[in-house]
Amino acid sequence: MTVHLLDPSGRVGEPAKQLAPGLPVLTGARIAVLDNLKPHAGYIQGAVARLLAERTGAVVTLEIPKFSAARPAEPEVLDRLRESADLIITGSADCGSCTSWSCHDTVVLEQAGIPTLLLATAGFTEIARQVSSLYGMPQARVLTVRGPLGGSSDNELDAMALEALEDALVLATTTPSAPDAA
Amino acid sequence: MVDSAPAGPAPDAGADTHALPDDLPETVYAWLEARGWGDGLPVVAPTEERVAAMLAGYPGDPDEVIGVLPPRLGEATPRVLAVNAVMAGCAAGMLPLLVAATRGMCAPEFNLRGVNSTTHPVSVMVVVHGQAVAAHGFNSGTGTLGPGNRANATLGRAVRLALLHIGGGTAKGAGDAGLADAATHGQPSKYTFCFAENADASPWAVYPRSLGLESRSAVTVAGMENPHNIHDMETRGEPGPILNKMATVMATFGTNNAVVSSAEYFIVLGPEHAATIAAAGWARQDVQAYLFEKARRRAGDFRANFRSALWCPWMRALADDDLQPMTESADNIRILVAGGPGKHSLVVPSWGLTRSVTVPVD
Repeated sequence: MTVHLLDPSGRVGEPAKQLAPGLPVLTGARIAVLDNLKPHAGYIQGAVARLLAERTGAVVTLEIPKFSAARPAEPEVLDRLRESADLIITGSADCGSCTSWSCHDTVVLEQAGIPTLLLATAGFTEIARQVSSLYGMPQARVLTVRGPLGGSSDNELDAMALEALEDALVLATTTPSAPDAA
Repeated sequence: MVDSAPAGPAPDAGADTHALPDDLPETVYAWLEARGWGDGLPVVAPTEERVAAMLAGYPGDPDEVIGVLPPRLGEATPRVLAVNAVMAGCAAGMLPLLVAATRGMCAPEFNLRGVNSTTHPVSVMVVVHGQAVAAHGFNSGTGTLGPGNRANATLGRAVRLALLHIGGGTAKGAGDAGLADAATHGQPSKYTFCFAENADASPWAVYPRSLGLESRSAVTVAGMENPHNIHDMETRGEPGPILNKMATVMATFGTNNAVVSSAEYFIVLGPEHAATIAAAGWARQDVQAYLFEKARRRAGDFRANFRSALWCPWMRALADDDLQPMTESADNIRILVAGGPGKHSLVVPSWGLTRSVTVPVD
């Protein structure tokens, strides 16, 4: 009486991808911010970038927006980042489509050889990891901040950035390996 | 020959095969739950025989990759889509419509990555046009959005199942077990959202013709919210009052149309409203132009409500007391006729950064 049911999900052909190597020394490194224009995303990413620069002697060279959180970064924006940055802070991942497209941008930038920190709020960190895994990059550098960003004051955002500084330093200067396969 | 083979994929199968002790509803439910599949409702067990019947007569290559559905990036082939069509309860012969809907969702302007992962409750609205409506038994009249008609219900459901299974758009919030759909609440139309254009009751050419398409049938997909109803029994003669009510529904700051000026609306006119409008000599374009003029709010009020918004440049140049349209072009107001008797019509707002796509079917 055995029956055979067919799988409704189909194949997935996305190959595994490698991270860009971390920067052993940040002194003199150029940090850029890719802002997806979600409320306060650019603010907190800029805050993390400046804290990193103050701590290490790096410089913040570029803060650039893309057209929308719900679209990939435009080719000209990616070109500017490639020209201007040794390290990128992007995001924010604090909603669904913005997380998904931020993961996309992160993978593109890592593949371009630039270590990229994807700033995600705590509520969206897991989905950011999941989507990055679907792109073949489960080890993506996800930098978690407390969140939420929307509705938070500048003081709260500054505090979140400061809390995340140590994690940002580790992610920028190391090359995380993929977690064990599920 | 697969009938004597042990459990495992058939040699030519694009989809894996799972061996179950039986296909009782409880067994199938357990199979779905163990894998995080399904929409929560019972499905038809996708046996090899049923899937083969769904594929029979399909005119194309069953293993063509129609598209890769994000965020999971699963390959949508007619064969795998047929599995989902069976599960949804589709009748044989519906597969070309599901393939067409999938082609539409994979068009870049549809932005399926966004649609299938956003916190917004957007669903995929599916509209069937032309000869396929009668040929497959779609209901374009009373209750076209359901419930009750198999074709309407199951095509919309098959699209959703494909997005869940192939696209991995399963509910995913903090602590939820799904994959990547972050919709804060979701909406009922995420189960199924399909209706048919009522060409017989339309005073104008069928919708695909208005886009320049001449095919016998077509399927439109659009990333939309649930419809909002408009009731007008009072208007006779000039149709302005009917459309004024629609304009008030369109001109809310509670939809993403307010934030994204390139976004579309679908206006689904009931046949009686359409007849009133056409009797006054109005063409489809007149309805679009009128709503474009009427669905406006003070530019200063837009700015007071949204700090980061995607408005086209000329909108940004308006003075605070100028009236800003809810969409940047009258063409973004999509007009078609569906439904049965009654003085009701629908306004369907958009998710925003998505464009509807109409795919010809012959």
